[in-house]
Amino acid sequence: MEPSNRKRESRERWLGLALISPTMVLFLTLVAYPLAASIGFSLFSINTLTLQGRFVGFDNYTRLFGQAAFWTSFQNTLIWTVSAVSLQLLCGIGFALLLHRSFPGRSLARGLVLFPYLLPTAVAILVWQWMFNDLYGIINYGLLSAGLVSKPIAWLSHMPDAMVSIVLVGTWKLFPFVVIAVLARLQTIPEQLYEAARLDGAGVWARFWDITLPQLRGVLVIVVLLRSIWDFKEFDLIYLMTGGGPAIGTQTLPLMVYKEAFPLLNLGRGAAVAVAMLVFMLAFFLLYFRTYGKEEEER
Amino acid sequence: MATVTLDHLRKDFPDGTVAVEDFSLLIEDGEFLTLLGPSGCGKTTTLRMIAGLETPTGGAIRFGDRRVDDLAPGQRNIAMVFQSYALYPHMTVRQNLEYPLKKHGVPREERRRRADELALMLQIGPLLDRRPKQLSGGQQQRVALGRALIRDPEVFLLDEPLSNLDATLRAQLRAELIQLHQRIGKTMVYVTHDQFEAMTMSTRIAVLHQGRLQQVGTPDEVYRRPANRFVASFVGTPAMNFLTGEIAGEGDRIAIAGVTTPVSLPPERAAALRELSPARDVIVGLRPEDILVGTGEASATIKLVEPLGHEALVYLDIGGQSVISRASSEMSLRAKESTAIDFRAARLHLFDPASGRRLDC
Repeated sequence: MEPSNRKRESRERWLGLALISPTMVLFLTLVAYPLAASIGFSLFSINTLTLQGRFVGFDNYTRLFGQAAFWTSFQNTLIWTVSAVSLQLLCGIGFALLLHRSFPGRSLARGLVLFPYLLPTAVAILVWQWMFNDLYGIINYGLLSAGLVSKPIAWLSHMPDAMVSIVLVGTWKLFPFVVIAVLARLQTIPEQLYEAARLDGAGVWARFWDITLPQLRGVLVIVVLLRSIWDFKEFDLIYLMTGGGPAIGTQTLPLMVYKEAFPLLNLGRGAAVAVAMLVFMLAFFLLYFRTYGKEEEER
Repeated sequence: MATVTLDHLRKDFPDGTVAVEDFSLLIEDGEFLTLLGPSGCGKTTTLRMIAGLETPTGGAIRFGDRRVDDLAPGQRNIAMVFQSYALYPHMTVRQNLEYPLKKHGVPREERRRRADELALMLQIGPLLDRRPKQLSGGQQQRVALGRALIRDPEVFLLDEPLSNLDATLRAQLRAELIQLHQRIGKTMVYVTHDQFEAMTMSTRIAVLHQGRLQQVGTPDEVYRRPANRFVASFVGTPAMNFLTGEIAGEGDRIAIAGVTTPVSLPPERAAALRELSPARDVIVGLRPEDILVGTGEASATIKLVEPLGHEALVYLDIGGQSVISRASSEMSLRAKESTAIDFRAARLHLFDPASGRRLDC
């Protein structure tokens, strides 16, 4: 190789490193360090206020896995995530299909559907708590007036109603994300595919199953992935709605992290729950990517 | 019987555009009819109305004696090939081919057998397990044709199926389509803006302009006896030359502006013009091959010579009017020189300057 070429290559290598260094610094301080610190904390028994503690090895984990509350929280997390994501998909696809059709006032409707997603969680939950209130909430009022129930339902202090309530509110709050993603994809499906299908004799349902759904597949894989990650670690909505109650009826793993680390002042145990969450999520997503990644490759 | 009758067909779009107006046409059984015209002339809208993808705002469509306006596209027993092919991207070639049969409840074994047969005929056998995006444009086009053929429909509708292909492939598929039509003998309605495709493939051509039918005829009729100035200018490359002139003598001669000696018409043409008053203004249409360079009494100035190998296009100035002529590439013609020219009087076309209609019908 010519010396000038070698010189240029070395200069380009340094330039490349210089260009990625800001990203690397950000990644190390904002992602790698907190992750390593959490894993580190989980091996200690640390008081959250004083940050004083001692190394306990895997004690936090053995204690955790022997605790019924941990497994209940895990189960609650799964129930919440699976139900909320499924309902969001159902409503999201439904609304997207509706908003994809042309009708007067469509632009306004498209804007309005985003409203729950844009509303701050604290505000939304305040309103929903009023609506779910067993004494003066509009939901009980409506059900009583319609004669569907004979006495008010204690929505947020009774199981399984409390779980049903947070799943419903979670769906309402978060489904617009699915609408946006699906609607964007729907607009790129060539109209001629539907026309060809009509000529081939496909009815409305056949066109949905044979054209729309397969075309939405790619975006749905991503939407399910993102919504599962986000809902698995959802904190504020559940915390504000029920605080994990009644008892630990709606306590999910993120609420348990908070409870251990703050009210109970044991940062180590809180960190151990967080690390366990991370492992569950990693296992789920490895499986997910293996299933869909392979199929996508085949396409 | 798969004649297709368009009876005073009309299509208005909600924005007020009249896409097709008072279009009547009988397409014979087994005919290869081309709807030809520039973009926006209404040819694709007409095809889509035949397919059932657009609802006519007036008139009727019949297949044989059966009125089909109210039938869904899937019930009309037609097949359509789209410009973009519209193959289902998530399905394999085999699934694409079998899809129309599946939707019509044909059993799996039968579907497989027919897909295999078609794949053999269209030479796409090795591609059956691939997906459309793994195919070249030509291969996709064959699959699209296969999907149209598999149901053995009464009428085939083809919407500019060759326009996304390169020139070589287009020529090849053009020939294949002609052979296919000869083999299956079904009614085909073909939409194109490419007059070359229309001329080479069609049994008859229907020329459309601004939503109205201008002329229907065999390619030869449309080329040799264009019904009006639009058809004359749209069909043929380079386009027909138009010169101003007037009828002279006893109606047997045409005086072309800038040409000293009037052109004498052959007796049979003159007879057709006799009823037209003398000294009447006309537009004279002359195909490039009907202006002969290097011979005759008239003269013109050469503006430009474009050699094409087997021939040359010569841009001429005849008394201030620009025309294009074809000449043998062996003639030594140079720009800015003067040359003798002659006109093939028997092939001269006359149009009314106001309406653009052909005068000697």
